[in-house]
Amino acid sequence: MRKRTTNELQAVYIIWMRHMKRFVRTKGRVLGSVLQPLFFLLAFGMGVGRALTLGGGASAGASGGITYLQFLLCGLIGMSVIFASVMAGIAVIWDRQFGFLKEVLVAPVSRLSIVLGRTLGAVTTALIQACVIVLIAMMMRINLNLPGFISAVPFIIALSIFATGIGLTVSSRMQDMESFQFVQNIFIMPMVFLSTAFMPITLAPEWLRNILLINPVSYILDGIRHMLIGSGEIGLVYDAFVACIAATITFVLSAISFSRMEV
Amino acid sequence: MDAIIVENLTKTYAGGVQALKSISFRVKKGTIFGFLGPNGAGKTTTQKILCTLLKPTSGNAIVMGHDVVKDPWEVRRKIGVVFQDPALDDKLTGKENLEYHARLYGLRGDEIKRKIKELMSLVELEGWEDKLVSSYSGGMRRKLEVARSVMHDPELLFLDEPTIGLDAHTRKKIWEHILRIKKEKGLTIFLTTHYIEEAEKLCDRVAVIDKGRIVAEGTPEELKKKFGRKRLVVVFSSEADKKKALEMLKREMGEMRVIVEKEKSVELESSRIEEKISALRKLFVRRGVRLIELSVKYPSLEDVYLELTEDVENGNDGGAYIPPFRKRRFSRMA
Ligand SMILES: Nc1ncnc2c1ncn2[C@@H]1O[C@H](COP(=O)(O)OP(=O)(O)OP(=O)(O)O)[C@@H](O)[C@H]1O
Ligand SMILES: [Mg+2]
Repeated sequence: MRKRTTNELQAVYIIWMRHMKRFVRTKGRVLGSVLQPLFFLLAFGMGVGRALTLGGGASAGASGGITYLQFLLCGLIGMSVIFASVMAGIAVIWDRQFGFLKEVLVAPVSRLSIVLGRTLGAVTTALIQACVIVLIAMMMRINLNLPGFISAVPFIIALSIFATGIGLTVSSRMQDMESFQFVQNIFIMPMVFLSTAFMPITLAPEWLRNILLINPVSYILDGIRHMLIGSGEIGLVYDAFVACIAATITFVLSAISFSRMEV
Repeated sequence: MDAIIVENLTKTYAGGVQALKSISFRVKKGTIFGFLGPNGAGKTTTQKILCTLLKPTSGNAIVMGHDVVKDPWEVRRKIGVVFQDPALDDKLTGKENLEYHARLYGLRGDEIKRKIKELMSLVELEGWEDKLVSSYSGGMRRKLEVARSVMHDPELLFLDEPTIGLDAHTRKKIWEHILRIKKEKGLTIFLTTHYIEEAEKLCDRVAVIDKGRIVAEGTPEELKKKFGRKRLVVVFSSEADKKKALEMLKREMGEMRVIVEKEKSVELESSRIEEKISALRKLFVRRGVRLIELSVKYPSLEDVYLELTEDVENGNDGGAYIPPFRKRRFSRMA
């Protein structure tokens, strides 16, 4: 029994390791994942963002008003974490297409460990990207609460697990990249753009407000903002609660769909 | 003891294709079992079910004492697999692919290093350990996969066309190695191949599968005895003699079929062929047909195989792939 447990841990480790190696060796993806948020920052943020000051949110407290640029930055961290994680999840489709998936599925390793290894890989790369974006923000002199970044990490991890779970669940059922494009467009994109990534709840029109509030991504982003810029619109307790639930649900879902998967 | 027990196994794919229509067979431990059949017969489907990658629609499969559906983990621990299609990560190096495999199977540091060294040299890939698999040739990738499949000392090895695309030299080497492990460790091998000669030489027993059904099973000798028809080989002195003889045959021995016709020789098939040899010889002598040789030829496993799976080869199967054995050469006379 103990041997089995160490074997499973070893499997999780090597699956994580493979993910990291592939991440490092795919230079385009690393670069793209950093450039994309930077581009958004420049396009949206610099023009309007510098000048625009948002009224303090529900819990803004003493910190007073924050700039849109600060707000946007947190949204962009979230967006980049989501995209990177979903990508990591759907890498399973590639594995299936070039045959490698069979090698993994025929090994004496529980499907849970496979899902865990992949999720850990996704979380690691997502965290690296978040760090890079924060570094860029510092160079751009965007005002951030740096010690807060440490406490934002649990939210970033939750967001990454949540998004990876979606990617894994989808890819365990899909045979090709084309069908994934479809999912990306009708599901992932709206999930990002209909969240508080770019828009504060308080500034959203009434109809949109309800949509923002049923989207778990809004809560997780709000948690990140509480930590990183000291200003959120929803209570931190709600944020943490939704983050845990959302991450757990998609993780369990992906583990279940993996255990049913055939090649 | 049986390494594999398959009972009334069927598989219908989601699209409605009936890939397996109730097959049953057993494979004894320590033997090599050959699985032969034309494209689309259901060989890979069978292997995937036995490897726990695919769930059967109905029936049972027991591999190394464990049910593939109820106890897949135990099965996976005991088997090694070479899939028909490549299953390597080409963004990893050869060594990394092997290490990945080793860790999935619970091997430890020193052991992994030792095995990698031993196996890479066995398949003659020394010096390629740290190169990305994307820079390997097709045959090199195949060799790496074969090496990988035995890395964790499996008790049962599934090989789906393992030597396809390999040069004769490498093929020989890989088989030597597999046979050596087999002898040392009592390995059982389930081999799918299109090289019928390979199967005839290596396999203790063979099953021929066609359109999802097993049409024959036994040792190569048994199959040849049971299904193979002996042929009469007649070599003439000249082409004119051959022509004369063929006309005679058509008139007077209508039940004899010409299977192969070459410049100065023919191969004939007929029922109870041995009894007809002397009559035929007399006939030829009487009509002045000069012979060089008249003899009975025993069938090869390949002949038997072609006989058993005839329909498919005549075009019912859609596959454009031409298997690497002799193409059919029948010019049939009524
Ligand atoms: N994933 C799948 N979905 C639907 N049908 C499939 C699938 N895989 C195989 N089939 C069908 O099942 C039948 C058996 O296929 P299988 O791959 O087992 O053949 P095979 O004997 O291995 O052939 P080959 O010699 O060409 O490898 C074929 O008719 C094939 O079209
Ligand atoms: Mg096949």
